[in-house]
Amino acid sequence: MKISRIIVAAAFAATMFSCTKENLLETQKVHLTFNVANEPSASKAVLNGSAVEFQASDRIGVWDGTSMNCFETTAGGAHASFSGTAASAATYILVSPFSANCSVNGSVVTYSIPDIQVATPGSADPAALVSMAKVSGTSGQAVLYNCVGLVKVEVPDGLTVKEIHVGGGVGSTVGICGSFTFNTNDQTVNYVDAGSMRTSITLVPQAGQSVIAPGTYYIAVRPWTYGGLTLAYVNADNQLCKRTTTNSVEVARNHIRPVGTLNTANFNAVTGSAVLRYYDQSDNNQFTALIKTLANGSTTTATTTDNVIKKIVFRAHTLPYKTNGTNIHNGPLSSVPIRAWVDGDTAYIYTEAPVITLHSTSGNLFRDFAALEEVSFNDVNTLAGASFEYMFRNCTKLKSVDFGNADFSKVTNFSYMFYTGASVLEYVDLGETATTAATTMQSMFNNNQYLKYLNLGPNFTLAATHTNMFLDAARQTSIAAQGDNDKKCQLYASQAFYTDVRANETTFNAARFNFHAQ
Amino acid sequence: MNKIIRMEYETPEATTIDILSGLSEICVSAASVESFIEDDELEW
Repeated sequence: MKISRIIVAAAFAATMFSCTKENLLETQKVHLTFNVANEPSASKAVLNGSAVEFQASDRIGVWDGTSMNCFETTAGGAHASFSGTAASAATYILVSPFSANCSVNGSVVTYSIPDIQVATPGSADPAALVSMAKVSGTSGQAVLYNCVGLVKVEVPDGLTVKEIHVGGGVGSTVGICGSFTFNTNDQTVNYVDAGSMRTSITLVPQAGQSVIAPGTYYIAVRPWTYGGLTLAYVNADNQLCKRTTTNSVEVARNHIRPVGTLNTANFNAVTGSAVLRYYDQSDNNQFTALIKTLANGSTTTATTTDNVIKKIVFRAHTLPYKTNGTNIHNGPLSSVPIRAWVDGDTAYIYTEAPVITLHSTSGNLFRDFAALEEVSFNDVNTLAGASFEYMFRNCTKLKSVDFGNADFSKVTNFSYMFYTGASVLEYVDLGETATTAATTMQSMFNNNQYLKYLNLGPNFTLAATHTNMFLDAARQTSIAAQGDNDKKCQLYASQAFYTDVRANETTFNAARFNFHAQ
Repeated sequence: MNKIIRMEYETPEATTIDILSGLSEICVSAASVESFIEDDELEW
């Protein structure tokens, strides 16, 4: 018998996302199935010393053989009471936190150890601190077993740490996170697929912070005896500072392995350049063709339409994502490799160098990725005299381009950069780059009719040539907004640029934008 | 170091599933969470 919750269908979504005790205790009998993966993360279970403590509003999942039900506590601490409803069953499986991305098959639970974890002082990221229990429906005791091992890192006073990375093996060649199974009968952990495991984890600052403050941090990792380990941090100069050991390192389930204090003496900074191979449609080993080849499993040319890749992620100053990445840097100009992987519909391009440098011939770089929706960088610059002409040619599903903290001050040609054909582009972020070398921005945003967010930054200046730069840009967004500034395209730029473009570029229609001076 | 966290479910009658009332209670009166065991520091 399914005992439940609440509500009529119209109220379903609200209940899913609020999951309050009041909702849970209502007693109308309507069958609902909860999709755990879609629940927002709200659990705050944290470490206190070596023990896990629950916090107020923490939620655990209760699997009753059919569905995962949300149980919530109103008060945390040493004693926490969780309330909720579930179907009657002989046994239940408890999963903490409720938001853990998991599925259940009998007594075995599939869960994830994330590759991006948020630095939590004195604790691990609550989302990664997964524990589970199998409990009888008729007896009264249960133990929630921890499903991860922890690496303990100290950040000292006086050291700027933007991120912390930990990699399995000396060259980050051993799986350290990904999808795993936990057997609630015997507490064994196994990987789901060796090839799908990622080989590094990044600990990032909390939202709104740019550095990880001094203190003690824990990183949840795959329980394993690693044949070596890599620990690294990103310093104030965006350099990845690494320390490795070839010693065997056991990080057992439910164990903490201290790895010491970050410092400048034992961690070597990765310096040098990492230049992406330039665009050449006759070269099947350059970026555009090679990503398509990796996605499709057979040699593909740069001008062949790709229908696989939806997202491309560039990350500098980071450990390898997986083993056996394809080298994609320009050999003569690079001293640090850039490696590429395609995982499902996403391409990852990683380098340990401080920045990814785009070649001066970067026009058409993303051409004919017909399924591509999103491109994101963290640190990117260019060689001198770079051309971005038609960079996203025929990317007709492209919605978002985030260049992070780009430096495009050496780019000379921005013409038709975001001209994608049947454009649905909504979001463009150029960071805070200067554009002092630019000679042309002709048709740069031509036909981007659905633009909703355009950040040009405080240092963006208008090039001498800018014909049709904003032709039809944000036109459809403006029509839909019906005069509502909040629904127009939000434009972030300097007052000087805004004044200049209004006075000198006839295709810039100020009425289509809600301008924010920077 | 074994600090035990109790999860005391709010069950008025505590230990059985009350089907007749239509309220299903997880009949766990207490549960503990494993405490992590800290090993020796890694020798680099």
